Amino acid sequence: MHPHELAILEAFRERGRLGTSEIVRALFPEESTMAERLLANANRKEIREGRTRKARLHRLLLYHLNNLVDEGLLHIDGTQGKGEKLFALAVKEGEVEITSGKKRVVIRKTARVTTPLDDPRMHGLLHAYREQGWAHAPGAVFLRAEAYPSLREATDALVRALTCVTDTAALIGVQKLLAGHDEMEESLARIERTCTQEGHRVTVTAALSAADEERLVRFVRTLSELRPTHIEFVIEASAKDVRAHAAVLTGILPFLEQAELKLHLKNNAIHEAPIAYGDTGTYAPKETDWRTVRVGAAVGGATVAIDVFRARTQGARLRELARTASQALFIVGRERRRELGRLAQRLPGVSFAHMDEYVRFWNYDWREEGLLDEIRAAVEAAQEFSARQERVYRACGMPVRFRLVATGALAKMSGALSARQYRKMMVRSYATLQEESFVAQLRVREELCRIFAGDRVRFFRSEARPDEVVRELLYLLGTYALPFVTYDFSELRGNVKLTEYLRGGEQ
Amino acid sequence: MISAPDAMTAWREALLSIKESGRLFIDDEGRACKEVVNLAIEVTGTADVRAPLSFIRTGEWIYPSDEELEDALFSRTNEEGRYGYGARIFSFRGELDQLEGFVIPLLRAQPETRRAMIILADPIADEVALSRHFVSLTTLWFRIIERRLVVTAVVRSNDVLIGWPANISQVSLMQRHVAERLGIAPGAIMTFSFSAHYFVEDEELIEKLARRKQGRPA
Repeated sequence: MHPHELAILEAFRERGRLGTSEIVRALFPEESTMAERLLANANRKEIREGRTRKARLHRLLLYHLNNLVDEGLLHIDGTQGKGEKLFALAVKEGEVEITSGKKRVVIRKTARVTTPLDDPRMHGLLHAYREQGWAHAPGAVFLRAEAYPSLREATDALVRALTCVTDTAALIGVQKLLAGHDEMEESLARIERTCTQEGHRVTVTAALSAADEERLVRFVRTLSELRPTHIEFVIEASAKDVRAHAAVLTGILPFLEQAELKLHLKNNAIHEAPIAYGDTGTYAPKETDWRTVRVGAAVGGATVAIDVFRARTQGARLRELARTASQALFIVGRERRRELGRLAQRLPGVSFAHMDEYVRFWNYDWREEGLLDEIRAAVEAAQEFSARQERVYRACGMPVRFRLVATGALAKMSGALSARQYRKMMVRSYATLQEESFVAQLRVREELCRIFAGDRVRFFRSEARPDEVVRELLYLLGTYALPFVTYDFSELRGNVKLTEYLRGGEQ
Repeated sequence: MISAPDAMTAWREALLSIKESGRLFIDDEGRACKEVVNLAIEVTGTADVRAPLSFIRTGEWIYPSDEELEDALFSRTNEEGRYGYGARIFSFRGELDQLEGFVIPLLRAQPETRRAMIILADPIADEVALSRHFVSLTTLWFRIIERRLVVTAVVRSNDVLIGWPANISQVSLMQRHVAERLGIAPGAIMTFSFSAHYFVEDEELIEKLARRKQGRPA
């Protein structure tokens, strides 16, 4: 067997299903990074060179991939992106040994992890996110931008992290690396392309008070020119910072609105550690954990969402569902622990000591009586279970970490979630914020934010001047204890409301 | 000291002894505990050493699997930043394999030695002044008595209800591993617990265990 074919099979030892680009990256990491860098360049000649190099690598591998398909070791398992083939091991569960000369490759197709979610009674009520990979990879990895000497190197690490997560990766505190237009454009384009290939989302955060104002505005302008659909930009600030740097915000808001990008604001006064989000919802590590992180950390493990609407209509108790979700997450985390050595090799410097598992709540109407108490009881049940599990394992000489974080879910997480029932918050002017029903809704969200960790509260805003938005943000941050606020300007385009309804909306 | 011919009897007697004569206190996490200090539990016959494991796995928790218990003892790596027995045994401070580099050759060369000891506690690595995690199984001592390998395990803090079944099973695994390397039979196992305790919230399970007749479920 050709050495490339053995190497391809070795790549499948880590993941059961890979796209051609992922296989190229696994076999030729340096060459593919170089091709990607050239492709992200603004220079046409270099882009052409990048395309040529990438095509050459793909052609080289396709020959060997086809050989492996012919030999019955791999099969084509679908396509992704712009028709890129996905390959999977054709062997059944168990081990296959391939010998070629002195080289011996043992492929193990990992058995699917069985959890209480397999109980048919849980179907529709509990939803796992990307079950195929959840026992082999973390959900979210956060990287400290300051740990890297340049934006280019931070981007390399972020791209690498994207190939090792099930949901999202984040670059925290990018203000220290903000560079010239071309370098930023190249990095952002590369991140967006990798996200598209991998089916993930990236969050880039910047601390408002620590950023060079001119560079920050330039960064947002570059981002808006790219019009990314997979990159979220979060500003980390307190109400005091917003007041002190209002001019920067008024400077960047037109770019965000124009590019249909949301303004995410992480409220430092309520949650010190970073918050980022993927398709499942927010990831919000505790400050005590984040403080000890030097380079980066896997902060999120697996996610199970509780469909609150279905639970209430079917008479299922949230407390019981939370307990079942916690059991499933514990079992998955236990399996994943075996993979940590391999993951640590792929993500140098990244800590795996602070990984939380996520129980998310989807589709709750804040007006329902007793709902908050029921959610609170469910979260308590999950926390009790996790504390007990930590105690049991510690007593057996295994001081494992099993922390559960409860927070909201996004509709993007799964197409199987129930259709959105609650009403979105629409701000028409500063006066809307004072309306009785709006205040009541915000008070409930504030209470939920005390139960949930780093939950996101989204406001739709139409026809706003930047200075009005800043004034509203100042009011919201000064009045309510909200850790993560999103201003969504998409209604300005007039078509999103319909599309949001069609796809079920977001929590 | 409690001495019994099998693990199940020893475990039950130890728990009943704590229940009857233990001191009630509230630990630093606010939980009610019953404790006996300096409790020695000897199991002279280790054929049923896994029986307590089978019983404790009926509790309302997910108990470590056999594979996890074995990994904890024999795995040299630990990516979670907390102590692991395996790393301490086979690569103490990244330098010493206490088993292959010390205990086994020593017992082979000097069968009457009293120095065949593995230390698992490392106050520097565990950052005892800063962290809540300080290894519980602190020492394993091996002695050959009448061509049998006898092991004593010293446990700093021992949840006798939940932890001891895993402890005795792991010590037995280690005992068999070393005995095989030496070509002798395994002998008795003793655990010596500085704090032998259980949590009052788990007392119902002790009642269930007490009601259980040997060889028959409760």
